[in-house]
Amino acid sequence: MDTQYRRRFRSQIKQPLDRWHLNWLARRAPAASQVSLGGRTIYMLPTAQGWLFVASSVVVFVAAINYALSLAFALSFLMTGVFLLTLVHTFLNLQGISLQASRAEACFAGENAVFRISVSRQDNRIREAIEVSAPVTGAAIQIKQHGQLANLTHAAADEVFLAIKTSVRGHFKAPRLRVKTVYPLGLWEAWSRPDLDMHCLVYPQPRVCDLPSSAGAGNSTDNLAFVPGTEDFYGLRPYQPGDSHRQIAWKVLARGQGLKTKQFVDPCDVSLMLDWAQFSGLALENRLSCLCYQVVQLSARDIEFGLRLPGQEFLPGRGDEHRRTLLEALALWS
Amino acid sequence: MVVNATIPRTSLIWVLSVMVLLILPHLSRMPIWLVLLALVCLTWRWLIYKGRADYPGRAVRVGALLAVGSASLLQYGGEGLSIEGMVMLLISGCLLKLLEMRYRRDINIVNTLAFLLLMAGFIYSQSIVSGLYNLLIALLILSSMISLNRAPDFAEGRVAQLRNLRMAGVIMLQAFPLMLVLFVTVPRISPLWGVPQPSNVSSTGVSDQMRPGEISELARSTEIAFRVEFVDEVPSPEQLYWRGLALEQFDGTTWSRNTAMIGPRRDQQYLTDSSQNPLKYSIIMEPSQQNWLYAISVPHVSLPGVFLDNQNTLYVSRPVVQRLRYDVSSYTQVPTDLLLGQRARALSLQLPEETNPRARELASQMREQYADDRQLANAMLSRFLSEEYFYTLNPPLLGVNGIDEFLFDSRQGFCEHYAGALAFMLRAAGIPARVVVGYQGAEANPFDDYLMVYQYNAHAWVEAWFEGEGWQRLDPTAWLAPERIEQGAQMLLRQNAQTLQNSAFANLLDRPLLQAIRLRLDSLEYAWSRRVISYDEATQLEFLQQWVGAARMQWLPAIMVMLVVLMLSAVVFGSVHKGRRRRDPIIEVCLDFMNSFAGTPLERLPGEGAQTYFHRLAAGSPLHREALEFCAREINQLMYDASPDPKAAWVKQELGQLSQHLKQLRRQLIPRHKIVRAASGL
Repeated sequence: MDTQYRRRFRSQIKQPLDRWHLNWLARRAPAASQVSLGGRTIYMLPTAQGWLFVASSVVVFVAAINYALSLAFALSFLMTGVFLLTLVHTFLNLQGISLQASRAEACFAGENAVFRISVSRQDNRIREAIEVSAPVTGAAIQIKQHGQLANLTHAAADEVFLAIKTSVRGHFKAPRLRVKTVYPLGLWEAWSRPDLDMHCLVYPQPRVCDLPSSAGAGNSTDNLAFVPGTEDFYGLRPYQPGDSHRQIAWKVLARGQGLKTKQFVDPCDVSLMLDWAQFSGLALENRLSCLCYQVVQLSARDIEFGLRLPGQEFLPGRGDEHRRTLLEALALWS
Repeated sequence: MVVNATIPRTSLIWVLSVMVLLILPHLSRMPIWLVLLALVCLTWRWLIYKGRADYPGRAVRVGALLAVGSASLLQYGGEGLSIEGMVMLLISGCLLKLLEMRYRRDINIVNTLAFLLLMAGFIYSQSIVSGLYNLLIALLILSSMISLNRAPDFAEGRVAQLRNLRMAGVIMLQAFPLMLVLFVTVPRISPLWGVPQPSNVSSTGVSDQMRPGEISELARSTEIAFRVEFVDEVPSPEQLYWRGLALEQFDGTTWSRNTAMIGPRRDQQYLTDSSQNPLKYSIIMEPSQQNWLYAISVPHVSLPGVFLDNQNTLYVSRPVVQRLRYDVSSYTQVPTDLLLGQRARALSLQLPEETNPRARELASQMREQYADDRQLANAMLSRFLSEEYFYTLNPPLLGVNGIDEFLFDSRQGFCEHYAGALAFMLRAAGIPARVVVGYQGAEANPFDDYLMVYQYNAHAWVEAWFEGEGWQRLDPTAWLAPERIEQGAQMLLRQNAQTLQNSAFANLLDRPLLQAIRLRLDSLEYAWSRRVISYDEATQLEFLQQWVGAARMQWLPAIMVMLVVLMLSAVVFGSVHKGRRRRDPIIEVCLDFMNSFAGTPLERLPGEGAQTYFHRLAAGSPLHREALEFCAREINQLMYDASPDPKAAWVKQELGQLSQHLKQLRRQLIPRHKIVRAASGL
């Protein structure tokens, strides 16, 4: 029962409110790659401790009235003064700082997208304990992420790394950040919700499946190519720093012909093509996941391969660039 | 920051030191079990901090709570909700909370309780010293709050702690003007409901009983009883009889007041008597824990809870537990009680049976000699002079028939002996008489316009009732030792200095420098209590009407808000201005020059440096080439040459020359680019 009410509350009240709030924020603080926090975009409220502080100031005030204690009046007013002043100090701790996000590396769905956010200031005012976090709103499961603290004491810039969990492939748009501070006294919380326009590409989540066997496509030897590997001896080449000691041709060295490295190759099918049609029984996302797994695995073995998607075909190739192209295609395929 | 986050280690040190400082002033009032609890809790917490002990388990915590609860019930439960009970409860709550203080939330609660304990300290003392002491504690509490909110990497270490303290100091200093504005303008209102007052504090000063030896004991105390400021001239010392209580009941050794007679005086005809100007003055009384005030002859005080009783004593409904300021108008010439009621007469003639037979005998002998009451009284006073009597601080102890022994055997006494004996003899002779206790004399403070009355000014004298005159003051001391009245009790004490060897006071009197410091400090304390402590409803109204004007009082809230907003904005602008990055003047000059061509063909290209810019310009305008290249060289030298001190004279001079050159160049270049633009327009 309880969960049912909670669900209804979430779907009928909380989510529309959140949406409205985000829309309002989008109008007020549009996305930009660099954001400077100013009076228009900083919001403030007393914290729980702030309310407690006010309450105790009121208690002191009432006691001062009842006991006619001048110094207790003074204490109560001092507390009021401190409360009002921390409003200013907490605001100033956030005001005038700039945030900039650098583009995150692509990741696989289910992994964390890691954004590097640089926090900097243009003036000489010290800023401390600025918490940067990325609350995920509207998601069924609220992921509470502890933010990281930026400090601008001596240096004018600091960096904060934010890891945000991704769930689906495609273009990932990071949620609005939450930048907040309660420094110095913890009586007020000043926060801002800048949108740093943080994007990253999310590849499909790899799904373990069989790799296409190189024999699968036909056995004719003229289709065979070799890729560096461990199976067959291929030849010698001059030693390069970083080559494994096991691969050094010691006999050749003993003959006085210099330092050589033995090269091995694996046989490989030149026309190895990963094909969409291969996984005909699977759902769309699962097909992409399987293809993704294969791309990752084959790239790791440095095998030359291509990819065939409906309407798209990638010729066989190898290397990081090739891998990125294919994964991108898988991520964005629709 | 997350509420459940653990506490930075250094915050604990702040909180522990705050707790120790908060508890110290209450130590003398704390029962022994609470002192033990404090020791145990603070040590345990310290050990936890050091990693040598663990947090107490649930059983220990519940046990401690129950033990403290029952102990405080036993200690304070009987007397209802007393202020001591509340303060001790607050202290024990804080101490127990220390032990389970693991998270930020806990430490926030302790910090809040600490502010309440600060307030509790003011119930007991509002002196300058305690004000400063509590200000220091407030500073430490703020530091502890700051240390909680800093990033963990920046929270540890001595430098960080000093920065916490400095930040707290800055906030405190900035809050001070705000506090002053609120202190002056926020309306004071009278107590909303009755509150328990401190009770187990021993009373000081003159008590409501007079036994031989009691006042001479008091005369050794150098504490202040009250301070007085006269509106007009200070009366002569022999007029400064500060009446406290009239003691009417005598049991053979002790004079005490008749509590049955206490009640507000009905006839206040002196108030309507406009023929005489009352003596006006204000008194700031130190806490006496007693419920009467001091004033000269027939006083009038309009203060809630204060009334004048039949014996011209000023009573207050609650004991004076705080410094109390009251304004008095004294009617010195008005006779009171011209008619003495039957009951009052009987009371002031009452004597215990069968004591002091020799004194009675003497009284009846003198009664036969003098028919007139006045003459008889004068004869009794003269007798102290004509016979050999000594005025001393160290009279011998007396037995059951004390008055007989004093009058006929020892003949040595202090004011209470003489007053007691005189009142006894007057009564024995049929003249209504009573003993009055209070203070006599005062010491002027040369640093300010007020008088100090010390405990050693304590005095006892007699009032006798005469037909047609009412109650009249008779002071045997004035007859016997007039120097005490004229020059003050200090003189007498100095003469008795040998007998006071142990008291620091004896030394103090003979050191002019120390004396001056003492008086200076006292004048500070007086100003403090007059301006700050006794800033109440009436004073506030008077002060504000004087400054704001009675007609503009309704603007007061607006003025207050305006001042507060003004101060807050001053803080904002102050810190923003202070944080503004100061640019090198040379860069400023360069940028000024380059930016002045914005929007023209001579505009600076994005990312172009000063040198490149000047050389580009030079290449494009052969006419000014030399001047431009010179400027570029000059800029180069000023910017990069062996870190020139920006304040050095030659740097300033060169900079001045450079900006002159640039100004000239700008004027020459601008018409040229206009031509260029016109040409390009074709």
